[in-house]
Amino acid sequence: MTRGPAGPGRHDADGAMFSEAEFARRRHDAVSAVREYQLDALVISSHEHLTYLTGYEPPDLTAPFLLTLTRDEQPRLHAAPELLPWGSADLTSPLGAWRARIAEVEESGRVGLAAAAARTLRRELGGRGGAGARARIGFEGGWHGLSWSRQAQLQQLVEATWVEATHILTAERLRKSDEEIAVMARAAAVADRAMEATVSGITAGAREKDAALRGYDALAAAGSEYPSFPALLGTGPRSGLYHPLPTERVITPGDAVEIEMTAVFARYNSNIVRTVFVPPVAREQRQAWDCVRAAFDAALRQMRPGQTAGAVDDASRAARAPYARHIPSRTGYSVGLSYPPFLMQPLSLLTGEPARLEPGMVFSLEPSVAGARGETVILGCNVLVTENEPRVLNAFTREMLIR
Amino acid sequence: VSSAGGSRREARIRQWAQDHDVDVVMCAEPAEILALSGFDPVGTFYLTAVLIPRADAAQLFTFRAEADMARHQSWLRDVLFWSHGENAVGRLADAIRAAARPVAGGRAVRVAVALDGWLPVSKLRELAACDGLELVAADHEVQDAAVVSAGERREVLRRAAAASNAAIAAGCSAVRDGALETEIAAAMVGAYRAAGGDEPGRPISVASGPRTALAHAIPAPRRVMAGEQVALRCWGTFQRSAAPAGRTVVALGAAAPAGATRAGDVLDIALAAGVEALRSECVAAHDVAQAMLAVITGSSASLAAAAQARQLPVGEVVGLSYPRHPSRFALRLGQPEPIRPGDVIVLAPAFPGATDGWARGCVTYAVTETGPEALAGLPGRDLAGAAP
Repeated sequence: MTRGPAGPGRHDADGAMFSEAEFARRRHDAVSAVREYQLDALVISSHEHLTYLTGYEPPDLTAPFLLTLTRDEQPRLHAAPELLPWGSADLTSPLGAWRARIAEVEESGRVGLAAAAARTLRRELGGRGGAGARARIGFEGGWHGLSWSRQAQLQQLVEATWVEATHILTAERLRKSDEEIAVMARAAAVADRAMEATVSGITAGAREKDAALRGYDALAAAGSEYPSFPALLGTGPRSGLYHPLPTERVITPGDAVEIEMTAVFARYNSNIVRTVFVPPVAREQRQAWDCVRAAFDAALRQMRPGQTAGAVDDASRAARAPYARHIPSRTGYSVGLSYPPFLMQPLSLLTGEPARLEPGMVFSLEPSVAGARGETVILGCNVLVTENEPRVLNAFTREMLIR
Repeated sequence: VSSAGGSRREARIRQWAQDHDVDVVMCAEPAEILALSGFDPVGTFYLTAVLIPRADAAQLFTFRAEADMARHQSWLRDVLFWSHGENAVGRLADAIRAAARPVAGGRAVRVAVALDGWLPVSKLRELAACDGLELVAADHEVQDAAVVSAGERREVLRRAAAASNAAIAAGCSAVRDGALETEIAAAMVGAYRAAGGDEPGRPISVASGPRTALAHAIPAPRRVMAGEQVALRCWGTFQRSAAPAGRTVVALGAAAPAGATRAGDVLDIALAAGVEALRSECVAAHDVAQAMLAVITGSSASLAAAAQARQLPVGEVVGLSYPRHPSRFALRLGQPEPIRPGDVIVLAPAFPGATDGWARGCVTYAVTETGPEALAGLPGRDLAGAAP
């Protein structure tokens, strides 16, 4: 084990993304939540939570790691060699362009990862977790990152009550701090630019990939990182596929074009979704758009503190009643820090969902009508719940777009 | 991928099920789903699987919002789906029990699934707790049976390689004293997408100076300085087939760091050694890694011990490539997986070129019955003419 110094927050061309105080708050709140669930420790295996607590952005999502968090608020990392290119001392090195706030780092072979984490847990739990004692330890089984075998090994090596605890940090991450909101707003502004660029390429005769290229260029020029969910662009009947990746199909008159672009900074993803219409626009297409726009506005009005997530979906569905058979999914979902393949965080704007909205939550609000005429008509923005009115983070027009 | 190929893959898995007394094989890796159904799942976070009963037709199980896409793309006739608000695992268990009914009778249905694969532990536990199901581990033979050979996707691999090469060429042109890594990456993204590249399984990688130690460096807002090494890599992908390329260049304006030229030579020889190993019959991932590492560690005593101890990979074997699941397995010491005709191999050696920087190369080959065939990469010399 090596002990490394804490460093400044990750920097980009404009300065630090997050302050040390922000990371201290995250660690403190995370441990408070762990205590609230009467756990002695949490074994973290999701990349999102590694980045959230320490600032370290693992470059290889296939390299396994285990981060232990105990009540002293000091994360301790055990990782495969691929995650530690400079050896055990270097997550605190400035070479990675960021510094991780990790108390101890240990490089482990694939076989030894669980054993190394178990050793740390036994030590930090002060005897609890050994034979005869019974600690309560949470693990994250709800995400990619923790294999069945590794979890079984951990349970075998540390005699404790093991508790599925993926929800603890995902719940913590739902409410964004001012610093996180600033990064989300920056990403939303770049997503706007990408959408504007993509829409400018929508014209009869152009290929889907040609239009998408404009969006990719706008994202890359702004320094946006790789998205957690790919850009979508589907035209005509392909828009009805709901998650269409751009192809070489040529846009034709009368097409509806579904577009989704996502901008990312410091792994905070902000997406924007639109349907654009290529003339001549059919009466049914206008009706579907008007309905989706009304559903968006109805849902937006519900996005106040104390309202349930289910009520937002209910309002949106009521506005889309004429198209009830063509509502394929929830009205929205929480967004923020993420790695592929997850764009969303676990709180859905979905009928029956009892969780209540709180200031600082950010959602992708994206009601749609899918499959009517074989097309998807959708309008989506990121929305911040505040103490008062909801704040739409995107400045891009929400009016019907005809190209 | 073709339905004919899919039928062959399905038959191999059905045979495995019969040999192992399994009622249903559940394939949930995105690459397996595409290989066995033709459906390219975009929302790979949704619970999706191909169910192959021992004695009945295969079925596709997916999320409602992607069901139309599944019906549009898949050659499987049975597309089942779950919706928001439903217990997805419960629906999946229902589908498995229904699929197994002809052979399972009254006993628990034996369903094989990759326990250390794509599905999160919590989902597997939920499934294991469902009445009437007994989970058994699907071993690597099932995963191997679902692999789509390079021959079946030759054209898309060539498109992927062309996009990789275009990105690397653009990146080389963008490297200059004072350029940000993110600016170089932007040039690569533009060229890659203009060449038709699809969503890659790994993001474009740019690393300069000391950051070249990172094998998969995400571009950072770091300025390149004259004389520094800059490692570029593009995981070029077309229709989920990847043919990556990469190389290391030196920013002009100052003398190249001591050792950079030698590092380039070592990389080329290591790549040639890897290609030569691929010509052998019955070669395993370990053998290719050993051949390449022999060159690298033979050129640097300090690397020899580190390579042994850390077992860092020198490449990957790539099937259909998705984010978070870009490759099948790594080329590293001790990796016993055999390399077979039809496999696609990424050779990606690294060597320290200066006190604070590494040189990295990356080329892609398809393994054919007659030997390795170069797909992507811009090696510094003609590999065919280089001997280890």
